[in-house]
Amino acid sequence: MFNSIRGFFSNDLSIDLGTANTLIYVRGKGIILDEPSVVAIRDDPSRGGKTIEAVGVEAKRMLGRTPGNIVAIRPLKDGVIADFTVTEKMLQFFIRKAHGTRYFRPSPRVVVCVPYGSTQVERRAIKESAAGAGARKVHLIHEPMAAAIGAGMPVHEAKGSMVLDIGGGTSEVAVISLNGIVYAASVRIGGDRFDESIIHYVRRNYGTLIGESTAERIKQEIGSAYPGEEVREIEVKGRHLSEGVPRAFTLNSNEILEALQEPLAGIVGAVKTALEQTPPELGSDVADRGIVLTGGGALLRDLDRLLMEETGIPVVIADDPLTCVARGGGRVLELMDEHGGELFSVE
Amino acid sequence: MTDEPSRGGSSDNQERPPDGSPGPGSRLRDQRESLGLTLEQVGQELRILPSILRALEEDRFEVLEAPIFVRGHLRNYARLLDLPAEEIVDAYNATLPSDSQPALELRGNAGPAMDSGTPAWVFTVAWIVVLAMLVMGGLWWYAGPHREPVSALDEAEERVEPVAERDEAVETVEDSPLTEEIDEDRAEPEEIEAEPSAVAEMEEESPAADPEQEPVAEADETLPAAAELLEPEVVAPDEPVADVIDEEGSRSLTVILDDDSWIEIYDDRDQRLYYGLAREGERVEVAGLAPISIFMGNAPAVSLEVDGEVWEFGDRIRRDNTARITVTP
Repeated sequence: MFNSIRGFFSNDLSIDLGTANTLIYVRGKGIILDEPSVVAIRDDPSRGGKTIEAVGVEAKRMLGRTPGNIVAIRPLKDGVIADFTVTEKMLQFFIRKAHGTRYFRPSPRVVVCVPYGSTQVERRAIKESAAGAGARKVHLIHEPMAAAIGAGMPVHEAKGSMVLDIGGGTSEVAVISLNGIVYAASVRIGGDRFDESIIHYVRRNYGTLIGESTAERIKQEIGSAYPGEEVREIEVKGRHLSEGVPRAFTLNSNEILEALQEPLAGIVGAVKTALEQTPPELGSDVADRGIVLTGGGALLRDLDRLLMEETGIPVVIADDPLTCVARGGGRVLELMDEHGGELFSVE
Repeated sequence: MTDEPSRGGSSDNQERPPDGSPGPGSRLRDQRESLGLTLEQVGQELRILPSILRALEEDRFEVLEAPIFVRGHLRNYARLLDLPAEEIVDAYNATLPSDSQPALELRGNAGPAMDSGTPAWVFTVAWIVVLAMLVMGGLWWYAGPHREPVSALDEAEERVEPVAERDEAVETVEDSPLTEEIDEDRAEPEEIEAEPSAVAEMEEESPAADPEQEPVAEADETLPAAAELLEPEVVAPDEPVADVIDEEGSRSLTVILDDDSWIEIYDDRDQRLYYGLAREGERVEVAGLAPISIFMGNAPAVSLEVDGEVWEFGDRIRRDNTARITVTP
């Protein structure tokens, strides 16, 4: 009973618990939290073992720059929980932060998005950790469904809508009609794989080691998925493997395009498979209206162009693609209130 | 393939913006024509059906149903024609009917829509209610009826009110001669207030102080203070005792006190016949159906007569000077 009283003082939340970023959408307020899913843990035996040093933006700044007794970790991998306890702590921190300074420990109703390809055990882990973080009721919904709703696609219509959500750990492609998923697939390729590919490419071709943050910066500034007329360049610094000292060098966008070929082929393959598996009526709807791109991967330059060329179907990028999933979850909460029941939620 | 014929004409006029601020369609068409491109060429480039492109150029956006598709295709089209994509999209947004603006805001995360979720004022109201309840609870605890009778509120009814309050016997109490007698004769108001229920019950049972009604026997809640006050009035005089004796199984008791003592007397149904402190030299006379049980303090100073005969109970006196005696039929 006390939970429901605290619930009265808590806002309903939609959480996009992503591999790269965690976003929280509050009904009526919009996206109120967008922080990297990173936790820095300090191991301090004199103060009772491990303590949380920082969460979110602050912790991300520490990634790869920590002394021995602090470790900055990303508790999610490939869209699912890799470290249960740390995820719970992180969620707790974010839920509290989302509520600001209140006298009550918040006990909100929460919608959490899970990858379509996640197993029962992985979904259970996410549910448990959200409950452990103080949520009074946890609904899980599939990420591609949330992304489509958040992008504003007419999912309730008897027409096929195809959405491709490229997150940090996974990419999800789904064909949706009449509020249901007709076909969906999840590939464990996302922004992180792009970064890794860049790190491997630089190591292979320049004999130089760069960090994750540098790789991400390269991707954001000159990364592209389709050859363009303009060639952009970026100067980066890394540790030269044989000389062992930091060295500066210049990369151009064509090199990064080459580096990204493998993960991009994986995503294109998933989309093509989805189109093959889609019933013809829905497929023709998709061909008319196009595929909608959401997620951080949609910001990769000319990704829409690549998909358009490869599939022969128009591709449109959603407005504000980074927040689609969280906003979609928020909309699901509203729909649950309007229609009752466990609309869209999965076990 | 598309349902453009069914939807196209109906809302065409509504969707078209007022003159002077044309939708993005004409700008796109002009630019395309100036570049010397046909709809088919553009369609080939963007993988869009020329019919949909034509609809976009004619500002018939409803063929694509959801704004997300319209915006996406307009953006792609503008990019192809080297037009500023955001200007084109803004021009489209301006054509949207105003009732779709909240939905747009939701999608665009443009601002808070306070109509959903728990509104902020609810928290304020909830806090006020909680505080008010705490204050009222505090007041009740500080000056509530369990601390002081309501009589404190009204000087005039000081002596009557507590009785009425406890026992729903307002009328009888107010008219009752007995209460007044008590008041006049001896009573300190505090003592009456302390035991209002006992007084009230006595009142109801014996409005005319009729000895034959055995008023004392009915007062089951009587406590020492009240009983002491009432004792001279309610204890029956000698004559009625004689009457009672005539009844079958009834015994008459006379307790004579050489010193102060407290005495409890119960009849066969555990009804109180007497309960209270008796003074030195007093005679307490009661009658009731046997077996009658008596419990008294300072027993050596008490002598007992049953039906006029002395009842010895010296062997029943315990070390603490109390005695329990049962008078059998």
